[in-house]
Amino acid sequence: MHRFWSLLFAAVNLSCLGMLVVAYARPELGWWLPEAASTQAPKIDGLFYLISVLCGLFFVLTQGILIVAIWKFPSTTPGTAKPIHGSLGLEIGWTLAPVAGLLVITGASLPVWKDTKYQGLQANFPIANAEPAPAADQVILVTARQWDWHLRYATAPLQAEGIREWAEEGTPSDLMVADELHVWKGAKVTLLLRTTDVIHSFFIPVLRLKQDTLPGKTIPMRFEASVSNVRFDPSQGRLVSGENNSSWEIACAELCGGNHYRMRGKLFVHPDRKSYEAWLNHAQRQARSRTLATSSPSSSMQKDASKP
Amino acid sequence: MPNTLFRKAKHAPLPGQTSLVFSRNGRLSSQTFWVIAFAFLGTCSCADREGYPEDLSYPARTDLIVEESPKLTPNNPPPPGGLEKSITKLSEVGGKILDPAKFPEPTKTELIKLLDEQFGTPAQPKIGSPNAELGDLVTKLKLDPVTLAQGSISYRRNCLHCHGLAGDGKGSSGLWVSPAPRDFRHGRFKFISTSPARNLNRPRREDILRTLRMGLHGTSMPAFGIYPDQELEALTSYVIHLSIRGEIEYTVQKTLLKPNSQLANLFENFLPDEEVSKPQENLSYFVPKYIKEIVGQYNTAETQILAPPEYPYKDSELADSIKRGHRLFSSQASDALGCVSCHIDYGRQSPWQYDEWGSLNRPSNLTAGIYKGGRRPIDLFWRVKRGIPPSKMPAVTLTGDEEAKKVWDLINFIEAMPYPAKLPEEVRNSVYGASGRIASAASPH
Repeated sequence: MHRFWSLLFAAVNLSCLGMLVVAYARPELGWWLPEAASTQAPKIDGLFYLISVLCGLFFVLTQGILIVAIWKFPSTTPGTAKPIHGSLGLEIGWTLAPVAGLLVITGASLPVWKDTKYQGLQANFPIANAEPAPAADQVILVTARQWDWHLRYATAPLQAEGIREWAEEGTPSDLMVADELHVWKGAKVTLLLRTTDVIHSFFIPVLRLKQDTLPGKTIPMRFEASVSNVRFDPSQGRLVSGENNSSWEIACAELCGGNHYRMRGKLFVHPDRKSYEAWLNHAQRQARSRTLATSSPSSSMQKDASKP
Repeated sequence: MPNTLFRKAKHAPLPGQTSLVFSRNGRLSSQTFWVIAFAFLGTCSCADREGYPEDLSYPARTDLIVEESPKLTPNNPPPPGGLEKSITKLSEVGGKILDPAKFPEPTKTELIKLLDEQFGTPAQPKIGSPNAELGDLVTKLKLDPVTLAQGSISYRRNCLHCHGLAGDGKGSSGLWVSPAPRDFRHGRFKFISTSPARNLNRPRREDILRTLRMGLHGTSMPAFGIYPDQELEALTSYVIHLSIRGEIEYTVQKTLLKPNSQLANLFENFLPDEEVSKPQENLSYFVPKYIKEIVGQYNTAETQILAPPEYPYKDSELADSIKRGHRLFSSQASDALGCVSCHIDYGRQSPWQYDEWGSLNRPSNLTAGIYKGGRRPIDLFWRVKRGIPPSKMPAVTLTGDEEAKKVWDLINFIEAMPYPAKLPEEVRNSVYGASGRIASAASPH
């Protein structure tokens, strides 16, 4: 190969490295990880950084060897190469080093996996000698369908044993909302994920929460939001910006048909329970509307009505 | 990677010469090929913000017109993708269909020309100009070209694939969903809140907005509530535009395809108050006049809202209200409304019936708690009090002093039906049997 390739690889690698630096230094570009808004997020981000650094070291090493090798020995070099026939030391080395790296990654991942995925299961599948699932401040049934999200909020507090029955039957006081997830900062939320048709995936980037919804299953997930972005102003009857001006997205992360890419929702984290309950009251009044005056819900419920 | 492109290089390299761009046999070198390939990929543009192509026009209607749906109640709906075929067979089961392919020639071209003139193209939609004399109704009802153009871009991104280019419900996705997406071309909508007085079957803008915001639960129509108000208003305007355009075409074809029909029939049936002289009996006189008539009806509909009576009950009176509602729902009592005669077994064994578009519907399973037109009490009020005209759900007529109480009794019963625990005991036994068996998650339609 010509030295052209060495230059090309070096140029591509350097520009990627440059973009990485820019992405990390300028978070407002949105190229790097979104902000971390849940108690779980730093742990998952930690895994991401660990894996990036480990793999990055190997990447730099291998690319460096490749670039230098092509530069020093382009195909115009006279003579033929002399192959070597095995080197036990090298082979052991480059087997054991990645194994060690993988073991480190596994060791770091397992506790995070347990925290993320296994907490909520105790509510539905009691495991002998397991700790009982802690009570949730909020229980929300999320039903995915092509192509929106329907959320059913339990408005009365639920005990862990009663969650399954509530999921199956519902109660008349439940609030049904499309495409909007409202929680408050510090609330322990249990989500029950379902789908009415095909496989979708409930994904909230800022919470680092992602779980496929499978037909026939109700899958529990738990999280606790640690940053708030809106609050509800009862005097205006709408959401206004809170301590943080962000618009947080719920996305579908499993291809589910033509409008999969448009299957979006919004996450609203209220600063405290009071703001959440003010919103809840307002939404329930809309949902119980018996008069013309309250019958026309507009998207003044949204934080910023001019952005989709 | 096989390099079969660019077989002949312009300048064959001299023997022994190495070139960055050309390899030894004169072909473009693989590295140059890849650099060019990546450069090309980088120029891909994002088509999401574009509207329809400027040269696209609405096609003439070619699919069959259902003049009259069969009265039969069939056992099963057609298989997925089978709606079109089932409509071709409707005449075998007592329905009447008309074929636009038989539409006589000079009229056919004249109609399309008039429609293009009055309604524009998908990229540049408009209503009723020239000469429909709509005046400021166009601005008042938000049917001006600017709003319609915005609506057209949104429609193409969000709605086209199910509802189709002309709003026929036969988009590429629409063929496969059940119930089928709404065919706007009849000018009729199911979930409306306008008063049945004067036979006004038009929706208000608010009805279409409600459908857009909340979706239709139990169908494939998603909720678009997180979109900004302005976009939803533009979409509503564009849907009304498609509906009016489709309705004109449908009306003309339906009338003139009948045997022995003439242009005079159009005026007699649809513009009975219009004084028409012989030379005026033609399409270019009819179309603008009828557009004005329809737009006038939409304008009237905005004020003919079916207002619910005030809710008369306290929480403690709810159980008795539900009992009375249950009696009204049944067919035994003397003042019963007989809802159960269509919503057989409270909707769990409802028969399939044809609607005016020739597709099949069932009276809904009210024990499932899935309400297409909305689950708020006021939505249920509108379904009950207005009925669902195109699907033949009758409007409930309740008169007199008792009306306020009776209608809310019925709605309280409907709301409680999915929750056995909420029903008073004898009502629960009647709806769910003595075992109190929970309703299964039945098919939503």
